[in-house]
Amino acid sequence: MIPRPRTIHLAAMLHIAVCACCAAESADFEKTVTPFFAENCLKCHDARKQKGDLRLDTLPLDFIGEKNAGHWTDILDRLTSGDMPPEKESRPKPRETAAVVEWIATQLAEAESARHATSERVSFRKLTRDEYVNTIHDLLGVTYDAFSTMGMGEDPNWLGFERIGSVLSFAPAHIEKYLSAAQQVLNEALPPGPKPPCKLIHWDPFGMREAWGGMKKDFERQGNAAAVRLPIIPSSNAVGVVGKRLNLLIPSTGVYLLRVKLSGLHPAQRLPPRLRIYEADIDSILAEQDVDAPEDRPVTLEFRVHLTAGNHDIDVMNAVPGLAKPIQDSNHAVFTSLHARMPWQQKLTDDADQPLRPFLILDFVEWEGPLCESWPTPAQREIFGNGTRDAAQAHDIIARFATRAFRQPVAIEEIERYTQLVEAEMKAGKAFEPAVKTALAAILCAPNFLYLVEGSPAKATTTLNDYELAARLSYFLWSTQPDDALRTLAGAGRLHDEATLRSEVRRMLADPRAAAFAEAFPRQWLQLRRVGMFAPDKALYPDYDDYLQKSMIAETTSFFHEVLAKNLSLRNFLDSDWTMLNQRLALHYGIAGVTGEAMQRVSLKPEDHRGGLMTQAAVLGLTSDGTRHRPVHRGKWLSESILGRPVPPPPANVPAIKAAQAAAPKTSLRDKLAAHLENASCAACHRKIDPLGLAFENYDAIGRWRTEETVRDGSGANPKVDASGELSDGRRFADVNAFKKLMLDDTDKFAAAFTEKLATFAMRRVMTFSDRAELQRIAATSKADDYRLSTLIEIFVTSALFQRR
Amino acid sequence: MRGAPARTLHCPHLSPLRLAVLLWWLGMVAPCAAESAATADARSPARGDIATASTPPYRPKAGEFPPFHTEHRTEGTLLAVDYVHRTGVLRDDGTGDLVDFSMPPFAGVRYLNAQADLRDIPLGINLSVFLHPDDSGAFTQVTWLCDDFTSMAARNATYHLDGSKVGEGMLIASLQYPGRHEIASGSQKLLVDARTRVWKDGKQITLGELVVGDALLVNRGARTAAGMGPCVDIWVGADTHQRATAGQRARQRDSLKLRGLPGWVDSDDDTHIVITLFSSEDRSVVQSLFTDKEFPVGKDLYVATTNRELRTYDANVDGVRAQLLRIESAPLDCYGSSGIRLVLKPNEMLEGFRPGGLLRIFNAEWPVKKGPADPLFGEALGNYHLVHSPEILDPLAHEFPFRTDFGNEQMPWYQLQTGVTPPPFSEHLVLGELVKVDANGHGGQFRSDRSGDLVDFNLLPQGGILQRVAYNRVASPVRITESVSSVLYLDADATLADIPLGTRCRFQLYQDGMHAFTQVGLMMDEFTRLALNHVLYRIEDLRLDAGRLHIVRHLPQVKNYHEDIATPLDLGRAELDVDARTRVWKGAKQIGLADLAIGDELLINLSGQSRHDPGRCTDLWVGEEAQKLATAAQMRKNDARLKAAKKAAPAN
Repeated sequence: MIPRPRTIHLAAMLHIAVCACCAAESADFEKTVTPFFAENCLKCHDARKQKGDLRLDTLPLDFIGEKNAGHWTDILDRLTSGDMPPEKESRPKPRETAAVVEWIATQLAEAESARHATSERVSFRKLTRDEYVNTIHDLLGVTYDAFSTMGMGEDPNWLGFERIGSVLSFAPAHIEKYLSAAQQVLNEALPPGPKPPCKLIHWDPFGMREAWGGMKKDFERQGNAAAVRLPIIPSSNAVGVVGKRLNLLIPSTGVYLLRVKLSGLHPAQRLPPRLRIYEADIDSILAEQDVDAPEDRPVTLEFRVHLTAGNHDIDVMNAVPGLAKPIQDSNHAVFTSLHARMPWQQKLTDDADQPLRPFLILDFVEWEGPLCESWPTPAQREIFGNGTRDAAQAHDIIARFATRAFRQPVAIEEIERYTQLVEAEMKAGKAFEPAVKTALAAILCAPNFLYLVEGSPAKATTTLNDYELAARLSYFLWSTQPDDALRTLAGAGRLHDEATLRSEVRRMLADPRAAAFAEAFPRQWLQLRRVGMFAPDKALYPDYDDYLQKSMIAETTSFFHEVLAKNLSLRNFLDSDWTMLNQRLALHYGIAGVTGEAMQRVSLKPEDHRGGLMTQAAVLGLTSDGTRHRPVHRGKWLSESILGRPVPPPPANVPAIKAAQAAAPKTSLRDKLAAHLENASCAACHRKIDPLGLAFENYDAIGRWRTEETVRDGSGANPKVDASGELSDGRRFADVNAFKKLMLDDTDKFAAAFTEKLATFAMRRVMTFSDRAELQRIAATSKADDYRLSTLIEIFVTSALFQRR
Repeated sequence: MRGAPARTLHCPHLSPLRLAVLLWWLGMVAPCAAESAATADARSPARGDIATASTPPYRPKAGEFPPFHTEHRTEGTLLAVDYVHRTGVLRDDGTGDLVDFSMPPFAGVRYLNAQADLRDIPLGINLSVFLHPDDSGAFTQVTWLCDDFTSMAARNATYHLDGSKVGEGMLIASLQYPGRHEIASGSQKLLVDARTRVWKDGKQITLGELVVGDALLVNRGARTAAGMGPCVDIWVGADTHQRATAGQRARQRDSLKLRGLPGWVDSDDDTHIVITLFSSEDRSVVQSLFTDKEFPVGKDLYVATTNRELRTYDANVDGVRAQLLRIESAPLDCYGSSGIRLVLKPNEMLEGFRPGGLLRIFNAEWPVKKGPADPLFGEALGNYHLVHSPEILDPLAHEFPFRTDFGNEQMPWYQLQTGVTPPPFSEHLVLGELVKVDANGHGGQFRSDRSGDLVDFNLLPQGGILQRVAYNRVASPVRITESVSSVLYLDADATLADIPLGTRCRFQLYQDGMHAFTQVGLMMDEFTRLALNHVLYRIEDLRLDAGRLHIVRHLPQVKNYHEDIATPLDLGRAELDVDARTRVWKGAKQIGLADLAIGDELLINLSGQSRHDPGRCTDLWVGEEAQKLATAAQMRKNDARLKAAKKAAPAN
């Protein structure tokens, strides 16, 4: 093999042309990759020979172009899989291979970031579903359910972030959705016709249990109909349902009062029964709540729910996990009392009348509405008022509405276009209000509404104008449009003033709307959407249910909210002596003394084995599959989300871990993973990844503490958990606590990674090498205040980076 | 009998046999029988006939077998039996009273020296009976009964035939204990008649074939003032005795395989139940079924809950599998216990798995578990909700916000509301003979059965709900239709005047302002009651010389779960008295009692029953045609009256 320095230099030149970080990268290339290629690859891939049509000595260092990036990806895959160099050739040292693999992976990651960050004169960043819903609510005062099956599709994400402009695509089908949504929300905000009458729909047990319907007459005649109640018992399918799926015919769209009278029998040391009203046709939970009320002292619960006109399929459920075994309850025995059940029915209480399982006893369900608490609606008053109902008023309405909807001043020509639409509709015979609604629907489908538009086609800009800054800020911290105060400051051109901006950040973080940030950012940063993505096996984890899953996610988001609200240090994310729990999650963790559904701050003791984000059930569970924890995935997640280090993809065709022989002793997953370190092609990466995950071996797939690993295959006792390990830099840890101490030692690195995640979320784009210096400055500045979260946000918002396009 | 105080044993005619039998009982279950009745017996928690007179009578309670010495003993004969509800009418020979009895779930029945069901016991034979008081204190709970064959065979006694005087209607025999080679008592007469059946080696022989020296076991007819009745059955020789016992055991095994081994729950926890199986003292039947082969320890058996009548619901589907963890011994010093106690781990805990809860256990290969509950058609409560008749329903008291005849004793009775027809099951049902009808036709007087109380009643203007089985053998399930009515006679609307005085009726009563049951929502004769429920009486035996018919109560055939025509199990058996006044109708004609034949299907009307008198049949309608004609005639009569009333209305 003959070295080809000229070619390498040529490649390096190409690299300079495409990559701003050329100097450092080139140096690494020269030092690491060039000798490796020369030693191991060019024999078959140079000017003389191009096996597989691949020539490496002239391969451009272009990681953005599709063709060349494909070559580099192929090289990466071949090296990681051990396919190359071929077996007959001498093998490179694993350390050398790992270095090359890491270099290529880094270049590819950088290139991907660069692609996402490519800036046009005008950038369009679509609103997410959350933002659309919030913005509609602020504009019109009505709630649009974008998350039901009838609503918007799921937002695509990039490493968990759902608001990356280059990822959020727009297909023709979306237009139909947005048009339909616009008409729906306008009809509700500006309802045609007179005030809809408030109606009461009453469901009694006879109506909810199909087999009982025919008996209603008998019970009424006997004067005993009021004694009939409806037990809802958790079944083998995790939840109990009231019986048949119930049809609810809603006459008018609006807010309804959902009223449920029921008892909830709560066994000691077990979960309480949980009422859930589920709308099956749109896969949406309308209401749910734990119920703890004795048989003879039922309670009446009330919920405000938003319902659209038409038929709805409703399940009334007891949403606690059921037993593994089927139930014997029957449709044919009418329930009047726990003391009057048939002997062949499932036993519900013990001989001391204490409940054996959590179950509900339902008296009735009522739907009352629509609740027209003011008429005309606030939107009607604001939009139509007492005007003249002519083109002039239409112009005025559109000007006001479009200015708010587009989050910036609207050109007179554009207002005229919408006004002409109103006039055309009126000419075609439409009344004033419907004609205006047509124009308003058009505004709600306009790019200026659906997208956050930054820049101008007229001239290239690098910084945001005041309106753009207001929008970026409000969608960052509130996930909705700027309020009047922000618009006013933008209109006055004062928002770029640092003191004003700092003041606005403080005002916005103190506003209840900041809860949207406290929910959305940790969910996206930590990829919490993956929690429950692979539903835990019901047989292995019978207690896992929707409520637990929600509580797990709520712990993490409320934890973040608490850090934000109290302006605590980022260190709390790495370790803390407190967390946020409700009764359900506390029961899951085995922590006593927590009651109620609301998340509350709870002090932790060492024996609780919790503290910080990394030992929260949501974080521990999101990397699990349906049956077991996955240490490698945990390590990869931690590397990406906490350390900000991307992990190269695994090689193709990695064989699955073999199941143990029945007669063989039970083997821990950790021991099975040891194979990674024996295989040189695996070891290079897994030596870095696996310890990060193995540190959390004391937590099972749904985040419960354990000291031994339950292993199904093999014989003998379950293996004891070993959570020790060694980081790639040689630092060792004995268990998860020691690991967290090492992480705390690296708080600076974590803060840098966190700042990058924060910026990605706020600026709706991937950070690139060109952003690094500013990110480092922001993190470093915030260190002076011990990396307090609100302070960091203030520093970030007032930085040049935040205001950059 | 109902409401009568507890009595002491009364033995006006203590024959050597009766004395021997009594001594055997005492020897078996009450070794201290010789003790004074007034002496407190430390082993007896409550008063019985022979001990502990100073304490209150023992009342059976759920989950507890009555201890020995707590019973009142008597002899008697069965006049009527309801297999489904485990009830009947017993004539107490001691007092002559008719006892409307019921049997607790653990009650033991023995026939031919083997465990038996009520359905195995012939009517009219002399029986030994143990009684316990019901909730009202009346001794109506039969906890143990057996025939004379059993009484003697169980202690190895037989009659030694000393001589035969068949022409004079008697055999001369003396009591003997085989193996002891001695005559235990002097010769005595055993009456025989033309109906006496003699069995030997599996065949029926004639009285004339008996030879001196034969070892006999007998069941005799009811006692009369003249003494014991004639022998109904005679079994000749030890082999025949054993064959009879073996045959009954086989029948009982079949019955238990069909219905499951009964028992109750002694205790339970979250996952286990401990149960004790019931048995008569002939434990061999239960033991022969409860074998290692049928119920191996460690394997699953099948458990279905039952109601208080030991009737399963839908045993094929509503039971659960349960692992038999171990077998323990249960106390035997009480009535009803098999001595077999099981510790089970059900795969699901049921409401009935509480102390005192009743259940039956099955091997998975037994009939009920092999398919839908067809084998118990007419008896089980579920049967995929194929209702045959309200006669076999088990109404649920908890569905009613008032007291009923079958529960809710703590609640007040239904209170009448003006113009509102009372709902079904709200009534208090009283049977009695119509003795007077008021001139206005809106009320009258009846004499209550047993008590003889005369009740002046009024008909409610709003009437009562009439439930009729809309039976159709080609369309199941059977439906029940409802209408409002007031007086029914011969299955048609009627006035009080249509019903002949002296007819026994069923009065659905409600309380008046003084809380006395005088207000009648609905009343009907026996004919109507049978017709409404599609229950028929089939003649099983004619004993016209004694003025009696033996009948079987049964339901008609019906489509079963498989859409096949099935014959429900018989409901019961009864003795009906007839006399020269009894009118018999067949087709359009009146016929004589002598024209009746075994197998005839009857509807009947009766006279009232008193404390000692079971009443008599006033009318018998033989066959469907006669029954339809009777109903049609009453309907015409009623229609004519309605038309006349309508015609007369404008004049008013």
